[in-house]
Amino acid sequence: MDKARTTLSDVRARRMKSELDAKSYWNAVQEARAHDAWRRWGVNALLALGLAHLLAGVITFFAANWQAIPAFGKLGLIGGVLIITALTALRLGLDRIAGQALLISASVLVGVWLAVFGQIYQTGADAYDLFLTWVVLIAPWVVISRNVVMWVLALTLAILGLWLYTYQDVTLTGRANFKEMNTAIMALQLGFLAIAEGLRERGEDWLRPTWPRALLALSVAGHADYMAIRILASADLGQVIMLPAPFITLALLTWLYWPRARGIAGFTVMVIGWAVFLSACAIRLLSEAVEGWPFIIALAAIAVLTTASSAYVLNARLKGAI
Amino acid sequence: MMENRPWYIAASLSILAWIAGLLTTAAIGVAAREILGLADGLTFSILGGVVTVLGLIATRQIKAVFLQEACTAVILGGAFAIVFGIHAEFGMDMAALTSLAVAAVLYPLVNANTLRFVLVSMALILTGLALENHLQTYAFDVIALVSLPLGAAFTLLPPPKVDARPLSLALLLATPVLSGISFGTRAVTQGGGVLTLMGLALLLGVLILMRRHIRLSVLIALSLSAAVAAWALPAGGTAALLILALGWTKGDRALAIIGAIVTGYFLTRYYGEVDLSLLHKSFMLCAVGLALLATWALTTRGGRVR
Repeated sequence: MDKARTTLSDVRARRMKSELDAKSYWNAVQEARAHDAWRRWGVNALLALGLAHLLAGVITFFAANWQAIPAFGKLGLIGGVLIITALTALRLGLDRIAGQALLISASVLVGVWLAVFGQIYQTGADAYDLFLTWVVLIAPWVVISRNVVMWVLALTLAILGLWLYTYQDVTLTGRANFKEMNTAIMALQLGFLAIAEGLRERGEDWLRPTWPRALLALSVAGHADYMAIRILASADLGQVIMLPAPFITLALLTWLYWPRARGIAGFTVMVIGWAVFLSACAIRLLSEAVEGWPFIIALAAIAVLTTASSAYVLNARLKGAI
Repeated sequence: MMENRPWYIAASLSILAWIAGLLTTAAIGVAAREILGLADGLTFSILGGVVTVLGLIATRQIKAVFLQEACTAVILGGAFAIVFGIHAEFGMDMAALTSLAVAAVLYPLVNANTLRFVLVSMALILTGLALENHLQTYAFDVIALVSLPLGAAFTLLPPPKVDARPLSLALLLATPVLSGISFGTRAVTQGGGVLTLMGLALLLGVLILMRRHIRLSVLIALSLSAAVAAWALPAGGTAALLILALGWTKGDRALAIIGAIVTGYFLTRYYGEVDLSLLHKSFMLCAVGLALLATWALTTRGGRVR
């Protein structure tokens, strides 16, 4: 909306300071309202709602008649839309928003096609096969797209696939250790994060948005904290031998985000990652020493200590002290 | 100050501070119970009162944002202790009345809108639970009949010296939240004729406020759509549309986004639960979609926004 004009907050502030009487309040609100922008907002919302209804109606129509459509028809229908979408995307060019949006749609349709194929022919493949095959098939598009949404989609699918593999083939059959797999997933994400930061510093404009890198950093820290909590919550003290893995991951994240040039978002994630890790360690140590109500009070003390120190570090970073 | 920080830093600091504040209050409660032996509800309420007052004094004295936020959480912890102490001692009716009184007293005294919103929401939830004991399923209708017009009034009327947004938002959200979550499967059909008519009247009233900015044909099309939606959707859905309309009319982006999200939830749930075959649902969705696109075409006259 127009920044030069009075905003709703300004009107509210004037009313609070008694600079605006009750009679002129509504007129001031209407003057502050950016009528053209809100008209466009309403019209766009109407269009989006109408298209969503129509699209949902078409999808529901196919769902209702799904059994009646022959297998070849089902795969041909999705495959046809997929090919048209991908070709249109390449024809429009990947330097245009429409081209990139169509390539993302085509990448999603690859997954839909694989899911339908699996449903029709009952291939017996595990769920992680679907996600990992999906990533492999769209990988060339991801590389040429130079689009962060495509990368986020591919990485999400890869992590989801690896997680499902960890659960189904590793945890259930005992062929490998959960913690080893989790370490591999953390290393993979950390590697991508380091590459992304490196490419951004080399001037790759499409990597400029902060959110995909912050999201990946959050995933790295989340995996490290989850692993640390699982190790520390385990009754088997021998598990502690794996604690260096999340510790080193968080240390590498710190190394990556300590330079100021890499922004505050990754630094914030890193600080909170450490706060959770250190709280989990302190709680484990305390649980060995105290129990009952003193434990609850000690728990509160740990929380206050870690949250206050995290806030202190973040504030110090913002002020340029560290 | 908070406003100068990126939103994720402000949010992180607030969450950290609230964790610290709430756990400090919990630790005070545990210590009072275990060390001082204060076990009965009334004493717990008095302790809650003391914590609240201390929190209020601290928020006025302390300038550091983190500590201010932590003290805000301490006030909330104290308010919870007051209300739940009363609940343990005197039951739900008194707890609901106390929560209303606590919200009314603390609302103008505190500066944090999050705290104001939580206090009003707590009062509304406990009032709903207390009414449910007496009126059973009609409790929802009573709350909706009172909270919706009040919420709309507080949104549109000039605010008093205190920021009324948390109060109006909590009042407006009470109906969709109770309709969508707390009252289970009754949600889709609940809200009798009176509630439907009231929701529709409020919705039309808000649309009429915009008559100077909308063409008559579009106003009629939107009013007809509102009437169909109010007839088909549960009371929570009509309330969601009212929030959306209020946000749009007032030019309040946050309110409009909340309204759009809640409306999306009720529409999805409605289509999911409506008792029709998949084929008939598809016809219905296509028909509604075409009607909406026709309204869009009418509004834009062939795609150009006027």
